[in-house]
Amino acid sequence: MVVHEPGPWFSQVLDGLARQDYPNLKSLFLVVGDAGDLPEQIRVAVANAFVRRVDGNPGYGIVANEVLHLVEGVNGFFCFLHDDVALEADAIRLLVEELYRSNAGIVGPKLVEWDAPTVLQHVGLGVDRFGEIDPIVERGELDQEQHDAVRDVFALPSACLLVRADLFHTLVGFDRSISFHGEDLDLCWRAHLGGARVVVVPSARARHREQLIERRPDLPHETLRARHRLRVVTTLSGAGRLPTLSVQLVLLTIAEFVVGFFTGTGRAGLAGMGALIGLIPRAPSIIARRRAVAAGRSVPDREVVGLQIRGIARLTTYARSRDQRTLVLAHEQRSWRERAGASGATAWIVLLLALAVGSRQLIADGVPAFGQFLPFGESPRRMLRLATSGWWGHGGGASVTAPTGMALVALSSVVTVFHMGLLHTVGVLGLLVVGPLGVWRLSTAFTTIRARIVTLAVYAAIPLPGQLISLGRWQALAVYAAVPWLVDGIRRIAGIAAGPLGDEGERVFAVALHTQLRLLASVTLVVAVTIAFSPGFLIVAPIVVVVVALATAVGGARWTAALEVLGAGLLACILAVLANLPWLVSLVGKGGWAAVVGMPVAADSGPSLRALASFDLGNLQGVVLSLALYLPVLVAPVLGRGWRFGWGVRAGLLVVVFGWLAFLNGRHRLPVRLPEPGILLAPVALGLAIAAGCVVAAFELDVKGGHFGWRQPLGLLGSFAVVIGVLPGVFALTSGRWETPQTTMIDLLGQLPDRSVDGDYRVLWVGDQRIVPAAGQSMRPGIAYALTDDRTLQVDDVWSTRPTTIDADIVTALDAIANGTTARAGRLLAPFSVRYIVIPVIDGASSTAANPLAIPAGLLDALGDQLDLGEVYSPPNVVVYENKAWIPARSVLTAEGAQASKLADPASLAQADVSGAVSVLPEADHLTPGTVGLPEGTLHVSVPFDDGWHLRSGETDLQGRPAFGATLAFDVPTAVQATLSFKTPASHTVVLWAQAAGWVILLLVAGGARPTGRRRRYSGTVGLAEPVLAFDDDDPAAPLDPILRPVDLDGVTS
Amino acid sequence: MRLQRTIAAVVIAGAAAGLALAGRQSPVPLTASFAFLGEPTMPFVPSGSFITSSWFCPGVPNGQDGVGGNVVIANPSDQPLAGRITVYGTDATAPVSQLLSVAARTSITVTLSDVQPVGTFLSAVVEVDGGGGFVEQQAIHPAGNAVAACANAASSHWYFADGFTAADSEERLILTNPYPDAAIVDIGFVTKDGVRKPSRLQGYPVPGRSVQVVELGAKDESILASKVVASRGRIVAGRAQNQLGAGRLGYSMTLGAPSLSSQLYFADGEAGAGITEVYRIFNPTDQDVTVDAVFLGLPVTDFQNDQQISVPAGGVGTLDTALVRGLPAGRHGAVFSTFAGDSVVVERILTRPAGRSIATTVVVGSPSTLASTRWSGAIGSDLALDDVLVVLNVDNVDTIVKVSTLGPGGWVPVPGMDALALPANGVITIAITDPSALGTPFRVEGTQRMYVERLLARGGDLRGRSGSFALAG
Repeated sequence: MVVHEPGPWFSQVLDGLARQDYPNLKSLFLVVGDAGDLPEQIRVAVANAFVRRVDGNPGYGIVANEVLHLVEGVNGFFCFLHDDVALEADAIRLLVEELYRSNAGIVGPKLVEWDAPTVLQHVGLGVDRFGEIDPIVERGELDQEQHDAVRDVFALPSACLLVRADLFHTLVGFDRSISFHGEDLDLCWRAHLGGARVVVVPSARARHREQLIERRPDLPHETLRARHRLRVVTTLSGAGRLPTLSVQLVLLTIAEFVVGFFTGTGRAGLAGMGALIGLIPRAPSIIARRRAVAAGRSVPDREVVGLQIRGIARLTTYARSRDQRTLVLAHEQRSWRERAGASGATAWIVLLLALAVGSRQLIADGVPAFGQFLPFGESPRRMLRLATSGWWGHGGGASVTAPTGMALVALSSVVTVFHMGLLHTVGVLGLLVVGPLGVWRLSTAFTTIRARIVTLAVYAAIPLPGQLISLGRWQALAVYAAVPWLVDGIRRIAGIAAGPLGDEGERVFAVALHTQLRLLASVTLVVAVTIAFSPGFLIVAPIVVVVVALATAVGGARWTAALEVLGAGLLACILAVLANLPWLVSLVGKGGWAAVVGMPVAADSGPSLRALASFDLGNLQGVVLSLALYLPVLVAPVLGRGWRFGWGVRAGLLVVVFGWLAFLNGRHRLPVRLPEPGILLAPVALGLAIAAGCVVAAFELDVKGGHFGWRQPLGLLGSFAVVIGVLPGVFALTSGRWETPQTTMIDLLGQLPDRSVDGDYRVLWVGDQRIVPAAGQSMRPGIAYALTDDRTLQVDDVWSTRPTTIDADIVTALDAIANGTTARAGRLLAPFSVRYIVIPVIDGASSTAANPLAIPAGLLDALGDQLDLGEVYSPPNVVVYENKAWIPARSVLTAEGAQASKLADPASLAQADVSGAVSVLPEADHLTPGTVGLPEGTLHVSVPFDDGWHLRSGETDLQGRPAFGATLAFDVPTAVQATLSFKTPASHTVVLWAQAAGWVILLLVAGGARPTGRRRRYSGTVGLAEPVLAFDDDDPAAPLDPILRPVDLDGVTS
Repeated sequence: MRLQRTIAAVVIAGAAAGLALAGRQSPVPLTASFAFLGEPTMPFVPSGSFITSSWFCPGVPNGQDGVGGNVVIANPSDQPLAGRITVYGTDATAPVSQLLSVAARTSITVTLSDVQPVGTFLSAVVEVDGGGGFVEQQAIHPAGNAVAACANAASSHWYFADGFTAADSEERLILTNPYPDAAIVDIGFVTKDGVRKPSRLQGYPVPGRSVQVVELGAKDESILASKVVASRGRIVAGRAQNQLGAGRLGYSMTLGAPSLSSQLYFADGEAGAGITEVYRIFNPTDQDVTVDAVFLGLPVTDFQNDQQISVPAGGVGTLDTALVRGLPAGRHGAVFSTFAGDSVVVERILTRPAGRSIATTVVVGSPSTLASTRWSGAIGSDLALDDVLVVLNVDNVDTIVKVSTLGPGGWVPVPGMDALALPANGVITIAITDPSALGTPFRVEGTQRMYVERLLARGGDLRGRSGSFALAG
């Protein structure tokens, strides 16, 4: 018997075992999880019982397999029992007798309801070719001896199975890849393949609670059920049938997925779809398993199929259940609306519809390019090359690794069949779904569906994501989407789940190590991907982890769980950093912090507390009502008990800690600057959503029905506040585009000349850092500048870099403009090909025509003083100056320019007229080498001096040199035909491959894959411990247990 | 567990309450500052380090016999100065640049027509590498030479409180756009009949890198204030006046005032027989203002030294010292101030007897922000004359004044002028007669804040003086 933290009924279970009249019965109890005083209780109730403790909880079948090593010999039978099965006194004897009589391999009893023994539970299981179970008996069917004939069945529930020991050895026990749900089907199916009969013996009776879902709410039951069913079918079905069966499986799963949403089984449909998709990465393990099983096939597949029921079991069961609905017990009759899955499905349908309505214009027209929603470019291949070339052209360009996010964007284009525009829209609007999806998954820790729905609704309706879209803050939106997944991941690793009603604290379930590893990889992926797009998450994620760990300790869970949360969370953050390491390394050093957390705002210009609290950061109106959501934060810890209290504390701490951080950061009162408010408020939003769910759950479970007191009105008030608080989310749906601008500054850039006319040029953006449309550098608090290529802005301009040598010179030029120390700053900017200086005025998001941000004081006046800058007619959104002294990005300098390029002094540059350079190689860049006939003179390339750039003429490499103290020049002694190119360093390629390998490993581990060699090592019959029992030994050698060493913890799932 | 719940609830509620308490006051949104440039002001000698410093000279006449002009660049430092001068002309001629070099402790004079011979008016931008030095211009005209300062920067606003077209006198605005793109300006003026904004002068284009000469078109006006506002770009504006009668004679070339002020000083001024001293006060704002005029450097008398002039919005006020009862005869300085903020610009028209004729000189008041303990001039007197420098002490403390000229040894005090007494709020005049001090840049230094005007001979055989402020700093 496998025992796992049983309830009070366990004494009846033990009594049933103790009363068995089979004379030669020996009992082995494998105690999983917290043993407590169970060994003592067992030994008192069952004479000569052997008790072994097993660390972790890898799953029923895996633990049960220990008999292969703990019991010596094969001349006998194993009777496997759940810890919630109470046998009648003659049950085992009858099973053994019938096994002999029928020459069966596996036999099982008639199982009846624990509390209503006259109601049938199982008399064997029918199974169709898709592995779907037909329970044979109807729910609530009374036992009138109508099923009392001994008969062959396809499978028996694992609750009570009597198996011949030799057969069990031959089958190598239960499938070690199946933790819960499906191990019985797999064993029986394989028995059939080996020619053994599986027989139900109704004369043997046992009561069974069958409450795994209630006892293990931490497990994804639907997911496990679907995943293991498909594993069994794909590994055990005959090869000849497999192609047809596969097609049928796909069609059936899709049909179930669609129909599920309308019949209240949406969760099952979703799980089925997930399991079907999950077969792809698991294909190697399935093939390996099929090979292993093939050796034991002794019966043709058609004979096994003949034992299965015809048709589709789920359809048959559904039709039969409709016919017999009136016969089912009244308390089990629930309409589809009342069922949990159906309510969740409805909530999701409403949510998705609402998001579709709220985003209708963006879906139709695409997300406008503004803020950080910069276009993805047209070619994913080029983007991938940009990401891996070793030269990142952002700003002035630098020989550093490009952000991991660029590669992820390029690779993600597979999802949209390389349609980058669609990917851009999905990449923004999809985050509105990903965040709530994470919250929905997180809320599986709540036992009531109402709480889950409220949590989902609040997180989706909170104004934060809408505001972030209205401002074009992609990085903060990514954090909004990621935070719930992070919190959910670390709580799953720690095994935190809702316990039974009445539990004072939270329940913490033991989680198998390999499951923890899988979850850790998943959390790492979440954090890594988010950091790849939003480096500020690097700061926020560890704080979230610490807060959740602290709240776990305070909230009544075991302190070890808090430590696990802390350790796992921080480890995930570290691994996520490693996954982004080549890029993040480039941010280490002076200016790196600003690249991570963003540029500083002007002193005391942070949002007010009211604006922060109501998420009034953008252009959505009426958000003040969301302040009502703070009431549940205060109410939840007071009202809630058990897990409600635990999550209430987590919610409260997330809100107050990140609320304080956002407030102090806005006031510049922290020793270090933190990311923008939108990022810091994402955990606050999550806290508000959790608190709302907790209040509803507390009202439902702890308050409703109790004695009247202060709790009832408080609970009602909290629930009412939730209703008020989500109203802004409803208001936000009206515009259909989240108040994003119709025309953006970037659209207007099209008025600048094409680069093909006069050569490649750059645009220098200077202005309020909130509306500079590319990630740049801070010039001084509140003022930023960014250097972008010609008239295009693309997604790679979203990421910041550390200042380069070019930045130092640009700051010098800007300072000279600001201080009026020269009227020739245009010449200072010329080596960097700055042709236009653009001052953003109205971006339609942070600065609107109705409420424009002020242009930094003195900026226009200072620029107007410059003799080389001419103001260009432009729309009111921007002020554009043209630098008449600019030099094309790749050009042959004039004699005066060439002379000036040999000096590094800004003064000499400002004093020399460098204009008149002739553009060459208009299409060449670090990805595309260019060849041109060069006259004698100096070729200037407007990139920082770097050894990776080569100018090659025939077999001769022309030596590059620094120009103007920062850029690159090649002196050409005589007219030649030469090729300009950039060579990616080999070390960079190696690093990228290592990084890619790391990501693949993370994906594989997160997907449940394990090293094949390791699985093989544990799949054999080699004993994991010395035997303690033998079929021919009446005097066991070791009546008391040393702790059994952990069983195969990697063998739970695949 | 109950205790745990209580503690948790109290901590969360306390933290929330603390946050609410801390955030009671909303921050006042601040606009980030890129540059602290301040209002453009009258020219001065900038201090500090520069990559290049620029001087924008308002223009000199050209193209006729006897007219022309120079730019004088003084280098008082111990290192040679390098730079370039770009001369812009009228008639759509392209600007011409020329490298220049000024040896240490010397000055050079560039005749603009030598650089760019084409155009009826020429103006120049002098760029000095590494900063240092200072620049002035001198217009040469048969009716009298006129020295004017070169501006430190162009501006989008220019004001002229005076104008004069009576007796066929000529008045022109010289607009220089040294920038690559066209500037668009609106020009308006005020006469005794009120404000006029001729349509031909609205949206008036000043092409890039060019000089435009604008005739206002106001005939026979003795009161003629004007303003030039660039709606796009920025320019340098000067005013050329050739006064031919009706109480005025002589030529003046004046840099406009790039901004309004609340307090303006004049070092020179004189009451006496045959002397006409008139102040024009231009209020281009939308509000009426009252300006107080106080004369400085007067002997102690019972004179009520507080003249109040009401200037209507957009109008011009006049103070004629001949009408000021009890004003003692002799030199005086003057300060015009208003409590209405920066709202006025004031010019002084001083006509003195010059032999058997008269000579009129027009000077723009210097704002209070330019009061300085040191004043410099690139153009000194070529002739040994009395009263070349007029120094006004604006502080209520006696001070000592030193006058130096630039020579091979650097700044050298003029013999006998290294400790001239200047009483509190007093005015003194200084003669430059030492041969070594003639025709060289000069510097006046004191221990209190001062204003310094210079009165130079008008050139040729003309009698009388042409006044102008030296450069503060």
